[in-house]
Amino acid sequence: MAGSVLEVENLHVTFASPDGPVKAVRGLDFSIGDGESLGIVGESGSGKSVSMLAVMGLLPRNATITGSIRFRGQELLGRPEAELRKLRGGKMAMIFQDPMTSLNPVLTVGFQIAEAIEAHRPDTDRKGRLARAAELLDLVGIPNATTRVRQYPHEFSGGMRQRAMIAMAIANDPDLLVADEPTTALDVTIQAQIMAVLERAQEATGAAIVLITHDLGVVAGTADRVMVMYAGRAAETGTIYDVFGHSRHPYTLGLLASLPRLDDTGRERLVPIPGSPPSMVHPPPGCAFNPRCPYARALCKAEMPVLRPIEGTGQCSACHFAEDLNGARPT
Amino acid sequence: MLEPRPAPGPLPGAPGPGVPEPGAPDELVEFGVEVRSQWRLVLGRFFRHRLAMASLFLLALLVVVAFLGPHLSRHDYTKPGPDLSQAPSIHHWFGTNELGIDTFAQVQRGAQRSIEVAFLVAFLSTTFGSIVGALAGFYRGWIDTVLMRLTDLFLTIPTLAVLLVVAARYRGSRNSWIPIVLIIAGFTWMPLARLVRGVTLSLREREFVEAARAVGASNARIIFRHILPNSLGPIIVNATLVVAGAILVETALSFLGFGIQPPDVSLGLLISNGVQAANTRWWLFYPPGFFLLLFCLAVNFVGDGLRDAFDPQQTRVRA
Repeated sequence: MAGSVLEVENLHVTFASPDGPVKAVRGLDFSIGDGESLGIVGESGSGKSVSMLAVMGLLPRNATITGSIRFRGQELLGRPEAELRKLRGGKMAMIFQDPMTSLNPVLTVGFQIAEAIEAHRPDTDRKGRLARAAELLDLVGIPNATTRVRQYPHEFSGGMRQRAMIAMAIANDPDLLVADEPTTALDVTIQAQIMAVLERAQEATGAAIVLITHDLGVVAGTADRVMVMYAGRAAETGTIYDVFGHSRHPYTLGLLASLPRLDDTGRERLVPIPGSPPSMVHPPPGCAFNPRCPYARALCKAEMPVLRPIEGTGQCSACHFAEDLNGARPT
Repeated sequence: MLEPRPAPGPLPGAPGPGVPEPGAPDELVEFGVEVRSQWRLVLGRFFRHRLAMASLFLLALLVVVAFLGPHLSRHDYTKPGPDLSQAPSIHHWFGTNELGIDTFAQVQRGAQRSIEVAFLVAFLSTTFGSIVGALAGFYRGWIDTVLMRLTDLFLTIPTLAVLLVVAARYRGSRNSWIPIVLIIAGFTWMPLARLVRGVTLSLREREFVEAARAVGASNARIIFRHILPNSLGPIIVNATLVVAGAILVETALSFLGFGIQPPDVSLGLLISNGVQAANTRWWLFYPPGFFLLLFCLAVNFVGDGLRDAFDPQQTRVRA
């Protein structure tokens, strides 16, 4: 890991709403190194997509973003839109959740990939761009790529559309690839293929990948490091092995306990996390997880825990009692 | 209109599936994916729309008759002849008027003028309305407010009154039809602007727009490459309505005496001249009237067919 591609510090994202400001992201720090893959997991509304949209500069105008987002050492917040546009799709690209709606239905797939190239390299000629589009489709495993470039999205299956989206994202050889739940809208049998394509895309471009998902299995299979988010903050970060094997945060433990395991006897019941995610208009005082936490004590209601390295492990946890938890499952 | 089912497949006993039919396209590749360009797809669907094809044929015929006819005809639409007020005959297909001018020549010339006016109006008002609507819907905020209040303002102005005032001002000048075109276009873009704004408001929230933004597309590119092509259906249908509408407005103006001025003729002027004669010398009234009717109908049906053809998601008439 030569240097970091992306450094996010103390990121806050607030949306104006009729009920008051919605604090979607509340002080998030993370960084990602060259060629690394980081998984971001969390429930719906935990701020995982919003924080990456903030990085891409794709949030609507009613969002207030504070903190610092540095891409290759350059601050992105406050930069003019025209400069951000040059970065987007160039050095940083994004893959969206639903491939069925992310492609323009009236343009051919090849045209749309060529457009991504044209937006950043207008000096290339049209023929060359289309040829490159075919190469990219071939790279992401679409058979008959030269024929397929001339087809419309409705002639593609869901998995193929997602492959096309990946082709579009890597068209300009990005340094950072953000995949926002790339497999959620797909058939389970296709998911593994798409993850393999993502890995191949990463190999081909050397890009760092941020994988946003709520599927712990997908993260475990692909990412080097994982960040668990809860209520707009990082709950726990570390390597896959540390976080999933020896979690130091009750929320991660709860997530893991709510998953079925292949090696159990079949008699154990899954343990859901009680309650529901907190309101982001009025997040609970102290630790946001305290109303649902089986270990919550008085301190948890009074003081917000900060993400801190846990001694003797490689991971960081935002729990006052992280040292007392060691992969123990709440009972 | 429902298409009749395609011809049934191979009859029992005929070669089963897997045996390529003679004449099947060669470029069928192993996955059964045929090479189809965008235009071939659109045209293929359009050609299958029978009513639209018939209308297109009729439209082409009317245009050819209007523009080519005078070169083939012996009669001139300005020159009075010796045959006064004659009923249709082999020499004068649509008869003559009280000055002995051939009605067929007049209808041809009038149709030329009316068609020119209609298409120019449709082009100008569609372009302007689409851009206003797309800008308002895409940028929202104060741009939207300004553009839409402007649209509302134009909608509240009584078109015909303004048309009459302006037309009266240019009355008698040689190219009086050009100001008429500009004015009709200036008062027909508003419904399209509202329509395109509505479509844009919904399209701009679609994920492919966000995806386009994520690959670094500029606002102009998103508007012209992604949003407007996706609103093409309503735009085209509206354009055909404007063609038909413009020809009717022009007719109404000429009928009132403020449109195309003699010695130039238009369908409206002819209808206006012929209306008193409708019961006695019917050939002065019905030919321009029918020409107008056929033209408007054909344009509308063609628009209908184009809308179906441009929509890649519709499956009813698949090429």
